[in-house]
Amino acid sequence: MSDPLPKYWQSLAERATDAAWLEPSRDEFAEELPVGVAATPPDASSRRDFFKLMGLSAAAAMVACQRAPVQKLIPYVSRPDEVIPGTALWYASTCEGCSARCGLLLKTRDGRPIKVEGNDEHPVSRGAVCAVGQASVLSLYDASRARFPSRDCHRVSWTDLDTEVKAGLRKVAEAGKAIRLVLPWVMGPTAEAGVKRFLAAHPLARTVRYEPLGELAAIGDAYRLTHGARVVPDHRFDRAQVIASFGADFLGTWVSPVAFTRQYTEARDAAGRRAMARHYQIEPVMTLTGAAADRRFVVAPSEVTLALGDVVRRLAVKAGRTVPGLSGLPASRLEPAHLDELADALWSHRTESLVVCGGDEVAAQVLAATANVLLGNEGTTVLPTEGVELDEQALSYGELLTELGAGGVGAVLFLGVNPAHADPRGAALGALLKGVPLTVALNDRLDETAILSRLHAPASTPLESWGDAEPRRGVLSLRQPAVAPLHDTRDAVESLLKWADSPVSHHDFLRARWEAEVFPHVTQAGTSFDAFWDDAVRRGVVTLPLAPTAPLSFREEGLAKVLGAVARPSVEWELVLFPSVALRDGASGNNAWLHEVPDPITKATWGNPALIAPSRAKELGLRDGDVVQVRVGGESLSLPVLVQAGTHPSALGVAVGYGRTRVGRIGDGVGTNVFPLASVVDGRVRRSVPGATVVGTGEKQKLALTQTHSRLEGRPHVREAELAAFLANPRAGNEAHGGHGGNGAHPLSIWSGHEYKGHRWALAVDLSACTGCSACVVSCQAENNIPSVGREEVLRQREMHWMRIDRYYQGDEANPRVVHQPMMCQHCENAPCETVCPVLATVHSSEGLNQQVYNRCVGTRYCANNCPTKVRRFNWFDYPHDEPLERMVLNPDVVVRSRGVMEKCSLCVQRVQEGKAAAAREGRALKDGDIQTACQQSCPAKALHFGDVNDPNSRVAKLAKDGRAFRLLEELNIGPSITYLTKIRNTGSGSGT
Amino acid sequence: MSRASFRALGYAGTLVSLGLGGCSGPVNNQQGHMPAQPVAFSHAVHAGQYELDCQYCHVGAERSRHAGVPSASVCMNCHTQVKKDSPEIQKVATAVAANAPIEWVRVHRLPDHAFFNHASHVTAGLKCQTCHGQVQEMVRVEQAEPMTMGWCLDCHRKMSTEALVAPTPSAPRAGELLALTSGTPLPEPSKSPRILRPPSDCSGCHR
Repeated sequence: MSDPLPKYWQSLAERATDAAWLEPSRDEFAEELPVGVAATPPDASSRRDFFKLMGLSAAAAMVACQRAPVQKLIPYVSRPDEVIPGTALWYASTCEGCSARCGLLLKTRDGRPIKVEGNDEHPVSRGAVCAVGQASVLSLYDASRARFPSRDCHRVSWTDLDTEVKAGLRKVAEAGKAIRLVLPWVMGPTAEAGVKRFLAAHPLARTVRYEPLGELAAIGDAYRLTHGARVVPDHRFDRAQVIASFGADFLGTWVSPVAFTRQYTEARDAAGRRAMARHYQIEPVMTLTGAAADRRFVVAPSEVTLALGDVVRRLAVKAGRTVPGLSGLPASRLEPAHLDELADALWSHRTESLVVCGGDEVAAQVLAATANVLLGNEGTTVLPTEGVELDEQALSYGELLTELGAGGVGAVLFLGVNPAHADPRGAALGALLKGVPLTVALNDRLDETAILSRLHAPASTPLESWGDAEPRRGVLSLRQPAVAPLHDTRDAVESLLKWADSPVSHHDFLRARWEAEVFPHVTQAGTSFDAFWDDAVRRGVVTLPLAPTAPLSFREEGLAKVLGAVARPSVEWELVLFPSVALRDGASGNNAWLHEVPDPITKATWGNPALIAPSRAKELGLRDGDVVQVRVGGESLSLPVLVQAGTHPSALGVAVGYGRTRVGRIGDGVGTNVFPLASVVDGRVRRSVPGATVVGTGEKQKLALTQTHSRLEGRPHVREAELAAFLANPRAGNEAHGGHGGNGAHPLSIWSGHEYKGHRWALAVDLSACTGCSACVVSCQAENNIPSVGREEVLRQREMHWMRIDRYYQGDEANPRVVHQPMMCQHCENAPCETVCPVLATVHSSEGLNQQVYNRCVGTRYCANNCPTKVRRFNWFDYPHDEPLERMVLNPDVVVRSRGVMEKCSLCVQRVQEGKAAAAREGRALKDGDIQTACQQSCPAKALHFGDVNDPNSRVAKLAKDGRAFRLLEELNIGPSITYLTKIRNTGSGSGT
Repeated sequence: MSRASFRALGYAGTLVSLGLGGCSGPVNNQQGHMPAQPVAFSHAVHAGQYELDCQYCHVGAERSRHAGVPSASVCMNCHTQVKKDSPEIQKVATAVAANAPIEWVRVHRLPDHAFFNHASHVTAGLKCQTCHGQVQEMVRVEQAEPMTMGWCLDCHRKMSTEALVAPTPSAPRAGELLALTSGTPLPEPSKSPRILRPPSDCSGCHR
């Protein structure tokens, strides 16, 4: 094949081959010693240390052959039957990281939860967990959580607090004032039953539903208008042949990203010779989902809805129907040819297409619902009756603020919501709450909202408490605690029940409700409830047979009004305030893992720079790190800019959830809180804000980006092909092999090679499946005790992640194509690192692993210099494990490395050894799939496959021989054990390159 | 004098002193270590005279990395009846009553970076005595073998040339207990015998 390989680039500077900008990445290590300001106190060896050491050496001479210090072995007084020290216990549970409610397995060792994995039996998440879910185990040990109940920040007993709350509620009732419970939209059926019981005990109480991102509320309100019920429908991406997403980041943050990623991968399994769904994305700022799209159209933020309107207009014509209100909708500026293409693609796949829409605008959601009705997708890809039902009676947060202003409210209870941070009207909340006699926060810490409340009844974390969820109709997911509450905290539902005068534990309440309402639907003759319950708790999820429901009919009446309100703003700048993949709305803002994992697109850590289009940056003379003043109405903030390819010139994108002030010692002051810039239209928050002004300030701020830390040097690390070309030739896009002729075969080698008599471990990575969501990165960090180094050290290019995801761009900087490439130690056959290590600290194992022996390592760093894939990480410090509570998360099967040694991906050798040992002691043969690396286990796209290539029937052995298989840097004859599989696109154009 | 040179001199001094200390064996060799224990428990009586199975008390040996030290309640399985008045048994009874665990002194200690797995060795058919010596004759337990890396590897290397077959395991297989209670089919035992190939790779024990 004579075609040149497509030119890939990682940063705009690299594309422009801007020498000055590339300079910092020229060397393996960013700067030489001395190390300057250290994360740990500077080394203070002194004369005093010398004498200490001499004293020690004298002592050592005397005791050199004496015994080591006494160590105690402290057994249980009475060992619980299920606990065998040194083995893991797993508990099935449900994630509360967002409203999706994925199934979890919590790994505990010696009573401590240490790892979150996906529950394979869970029908929604099917074995995967996202980065947020993975990180929830670290939040359990967050030292900044509240440790006891308090009144005005002073500790009180639960009895005193309960007495005060009950007396307060009674007084409010006597005064005839309102009681308001501020709740998240999705809580789970039993928690909702607890809320109902509270409402029954307090007739003046009503619920207020609050959601920082406003996405569920917008969908719910749209369906209330179009279908007469406040529901969030179930979406089935796996049944779609054409997917059109208007700003919905459904692979990253929208509604249920883990489930959607799995479905999406199945719908696009070109290698399995299934038809590959085509994905259109229309968005102003590049999202994870946009990066995966086959066809991505960049539009201004306010144009997303208008473009959707244009598509609906075309669909209505094709369907021969009129949609009221549509004629008044302004036309979008998206090229009519694109709109025609999209509408044609959707129309030709009626009933097997899917239109989704992100954001918090009801009109846009109404249009998406209309499109799906016109396409006949309801019942196939959109299931309004199978989704999540939302509270029909709830007041909105805007209505609560009005009530508070009028002074009719006597009590406000916040259940784990934080509007003081995550709402543009947050600053006013303090003054409004002053006049309320009873304010109680049930948040897990004294956060921005809790500090405004007089009483704080801290809730236990989801890992410490019972609960349930219904993420899809008929799927009941149980949450069981993996550990008793670490502090003097209490389950939030238990608190509510106590204040409703039915003091029952959440567990008993849950069990009773399941016996009364769930068990009768389970048709298993002869099963007792006890047996059913034990099995349900063990499995973590129960799927009920679905009683057929009447389909919701589409109503057109309300359409005209809501669509009529949509106008096109003619403005220079529009803000897009989006949730980031790791931090979402900022609730986990004190989690170091989530701050340190690079954003999948921008590769920014520890902050939220403002994203600006390359063309616009050039025009304004802005470069990465230049601080701009962003002004909207009366609000003004300073933000550093990041020039981001694929951004619309009129858009300024900033992630929300940052800039917290009362979350704890890790997250306070990281980034800027941009919620105050959001606009409020008719009491509803809009995160797409027209009419901003952006002015350069001349100041600079360093951005902790990771992507520029290693360079490509023009080598083709990623390969891709167009679907049509791939179907014609399974090796499409993968013809170039090493430049030595043949399939990477080298005529000469200075190495004598290795013999693998037993296993030979390897990993296959499917670039076509990988979306870059970074769940694997956090999973790897949790499994392997990888420290978080903080912003300063990331700036010095000293991040410690064993696994990173490289993001490559190709083509036009205004709208580039993206490839994500998970990158870990390649476990090379002829490993360059092994050749240069003077102390044999990195050696080859008999099973093909490149082993790092920490106790031999003296820290020459030769190996890292010689590693062509730059996956080795050096411990510049003893990274802080000074907080005893946060140390509890460490995996006891992996050592904590000390200062001065090199480390890198071990292909989870502790799991390999445990898998082999388990098979041996149980007297069975090791099967393919018995051993899963941490990255593989959590992957929602199932892009990673670990196994034994010496077993010809293993998945990884088959993938290694696939037509799409290629290895990195074949021309160097390093012989990686990691196989990559070509990325396949379905853009519909003739050539992929 | 710079800080670094002070420190270097100190370390050098330590090394020299260690060299002069007359230490002949490898570092970390605690062969012969026999500390006093809080309760004068005799393995010679229990494992020797009464021939109690080691795993009656050390329940993790076949299933876990750690063989485990028995909880005080295990002692009381018999000692609520036997030798109730012995002052040593009184200590155990007090511990159980007060819910205060007995703090035994560790005899066999491997460094933290060595991940030894009891289950792998016991299910391979190794006698406990191979590493722990004639415990059934010890009134107070002592470390019988050097327990150094070289000592481990000598055995690992010897075994891998002999290709011995492991005995049929007595521990329940994964899913076996569940199968017995829920009626699901028993997991298939391996048809091929387990040939012992102890690792001599670094990552066999260090990770």
